[in-house]
Amino acid sequence: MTGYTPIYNLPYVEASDLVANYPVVSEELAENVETAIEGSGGLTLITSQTFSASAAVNVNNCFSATYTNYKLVYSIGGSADANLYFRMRVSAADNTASTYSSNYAMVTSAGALTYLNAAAGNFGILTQVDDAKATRGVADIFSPFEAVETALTANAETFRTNSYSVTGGAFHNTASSFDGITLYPSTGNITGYLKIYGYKD
Amino acid sequence: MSIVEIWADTGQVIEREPTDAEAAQMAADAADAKKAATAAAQAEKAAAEARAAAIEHAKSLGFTDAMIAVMYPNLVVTND
Repeated sequence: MTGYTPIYNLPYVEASDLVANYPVVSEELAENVETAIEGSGGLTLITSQTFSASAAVNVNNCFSATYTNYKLVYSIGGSADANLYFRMRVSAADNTASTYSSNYAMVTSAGALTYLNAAAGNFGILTQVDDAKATRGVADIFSPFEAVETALTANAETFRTNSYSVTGGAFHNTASSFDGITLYPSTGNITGYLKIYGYKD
Repeated sequence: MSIVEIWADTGQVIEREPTDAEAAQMAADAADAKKAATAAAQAEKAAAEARAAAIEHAKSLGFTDAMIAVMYPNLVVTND
């Protein structure tokens, strides 16, 4: 009789099994190994995309009921010094309601501390970009697809004369369901890549 | 300028020109950003003048740079 491992339920052939049973057991083994690998880890890659000199990068259908929370990983440079904004999207259209608020602290390696914020606007702030070095950062996006308020926390690092970090977050203060997000600079265009992952529950 | 449109579920990616509505929104966004940058620059200029005046007043009372830096760290501006 075929045995099964205790954790991932992988079948194995026992001494009492017939040689003729092996093809069936082999197929079941392969399928269960595939299932175990797919179910492991904490993040699932949803999309990965590079872009060059883009006025905006629209990502549609990246948020769904499959995951509650998401991680955005990016490396983006600008054609000019700019704030990098985001808007949530639904059905391939931006949400431009004036319900985004953003709050960031920026610290340089020279010890300067400044703030970047916006209240009740029609955009959220993700970070800053410039034409010196690419800004590399991550953002966690909480509950974008659920019909609740969406929160984003972000941290990024870049360099212009000094290294500096941009740390903070943004909040969309209306209970809404979104299936996408767009990134766009306050001026100029952007080049780089982004990756969006879903956090496994 | 072109927009990159990505459909994460199908993997389709296109690069296209903005629609008229998108172009209008981009123009409005640029105008708002310029207005906000001007306001921020004016606020920083006023804050810098206030800091300079506070430092000058402290010095008129006999405080040294080192004393001001310790007592009022926010008055010491480190420029990038």
